[in-house]
Amino acid sequence: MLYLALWRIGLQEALQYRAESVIWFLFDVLPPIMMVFLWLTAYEGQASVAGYSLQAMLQYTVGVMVLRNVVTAHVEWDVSYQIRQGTLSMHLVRPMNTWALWFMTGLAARTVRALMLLPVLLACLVWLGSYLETPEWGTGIGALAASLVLAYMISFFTKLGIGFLAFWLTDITGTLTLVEVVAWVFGGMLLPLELLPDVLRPIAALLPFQYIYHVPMSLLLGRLDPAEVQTTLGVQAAWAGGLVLLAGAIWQRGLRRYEAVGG
Amino acid sequence: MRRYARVYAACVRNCLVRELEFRANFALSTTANLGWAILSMLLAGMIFGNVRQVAGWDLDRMFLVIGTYVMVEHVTSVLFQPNMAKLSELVNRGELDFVLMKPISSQFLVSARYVDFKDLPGVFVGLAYVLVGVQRLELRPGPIEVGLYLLLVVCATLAVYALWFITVTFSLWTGRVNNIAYLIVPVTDLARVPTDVFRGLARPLLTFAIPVALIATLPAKALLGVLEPGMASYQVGLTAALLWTSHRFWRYSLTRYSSASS
Repeated sequence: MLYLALWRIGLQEALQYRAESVIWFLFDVLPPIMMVFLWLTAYEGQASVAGYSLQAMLQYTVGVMVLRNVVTAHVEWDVSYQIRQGTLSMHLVRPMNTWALWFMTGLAARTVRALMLLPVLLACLVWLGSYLETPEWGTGIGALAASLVLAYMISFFTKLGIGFLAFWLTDITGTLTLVEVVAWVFGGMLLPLELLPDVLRPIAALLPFQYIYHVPMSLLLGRLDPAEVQTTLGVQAAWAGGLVLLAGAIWQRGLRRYEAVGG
Repeated sequence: MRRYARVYAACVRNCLVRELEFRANFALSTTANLGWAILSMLLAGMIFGNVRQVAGWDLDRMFLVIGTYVMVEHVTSVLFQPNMAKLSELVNRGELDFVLMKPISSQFLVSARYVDFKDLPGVFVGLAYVLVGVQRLELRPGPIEVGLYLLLVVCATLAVYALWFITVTFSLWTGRVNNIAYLIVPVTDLARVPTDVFRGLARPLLTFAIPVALIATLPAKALLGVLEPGMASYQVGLTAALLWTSHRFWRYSLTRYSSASS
């Protein structure tokens, strides 16, 4: 019940700053739309790009637009702001889990984003109709749903950890920018990882970001065989678990430091 | 004019001194911003390494497009980003009054007070991409091509500024929209692909109304020697019109401005 209330408060906050929301929304929507235009033109000259047909490529591009909006957490701003301003203390003394507060407000923000995305998605369906028609629900909707939940966890706890860096840094923007750049290239946040040159592919395998974007999309497009699905979900779960532990460790060390500063 | 140059020199000096005070942050932010400059070319490389050509553009020609895009993006960030980001704050705190009292053009002061050196290295990364493109294409651009290219890059910088200023001037009307300075960013980011790939209404919109083609595609065409003279003239006119509009809109909005403090 408490968590539902937190989610509702988060919804109200997100709806209060509508103009702001629309501007951030453009950052996640315009690049994929730009890529749809580019792919439609590029495939006039060839039938396949790095093993993707036009249909698969457009499904990846529109799918990744959904993931950028619905599965990508942006909790780092709230967290770092509260640490810097000291308003974190207010949350700490309340008889409630502070992480749960952030988790629920984060979910509320994603809910609002999903609602904003709906008309854009419908327009894409009308525009690209036949290309988006038959997603080959490769390995069943269950595996995909599990993968999406894990993707959100990975994104959320990565961003939470980055937010915690505010215990040490006055400004997390630089760190965040670097992480974003890496996620764009090695996560498949705009282009499928098959387009990466062979020398760079191993780097993507060492990072969590492909488990937020590229892996759920591969599941949706049925690019993994059944044996791979099990292990992939396992690795995804391991990343989610590992990142929870990592964020927890940073949180513990940061809190010690925070209390020291607060006197 | 002399007076404006002197004031501007003082602003630049002041910003440099402030920047050098926090050197670690400066170094980190500079590295991060270089990351974006590299990302743009990496993404283009991922696409054009796997695709022979798109609407006549191949990887070599994309070096010209991305290089110009990175250059214009970073020059406008250096000159205008901090000013555009601060305008809504000035309005919300009632500090715009102090600007209006100064015996100098208020549009000049709110647009040029701060310079952000963190984005300066990116300008040279962009330039390097362009030079690599020229090398790979074995281009021998004559004085006309180079002159036209530079003219369009200057126009792009001014047009982006004008559009940016128009959008942030809305904070005199709307009150608090914290991220209004970022509204223009995802739009100008569309310059990362050749405007020729857009279809339907999008292409004329991004060529003739919103100066997206002007940022990278048209200068690249100028360097390749395939730009129609009529298009170049039109873009100069568009830039002038945007600058004029930005000034009229600012003056008009000021008549509606009733400070936050009083």
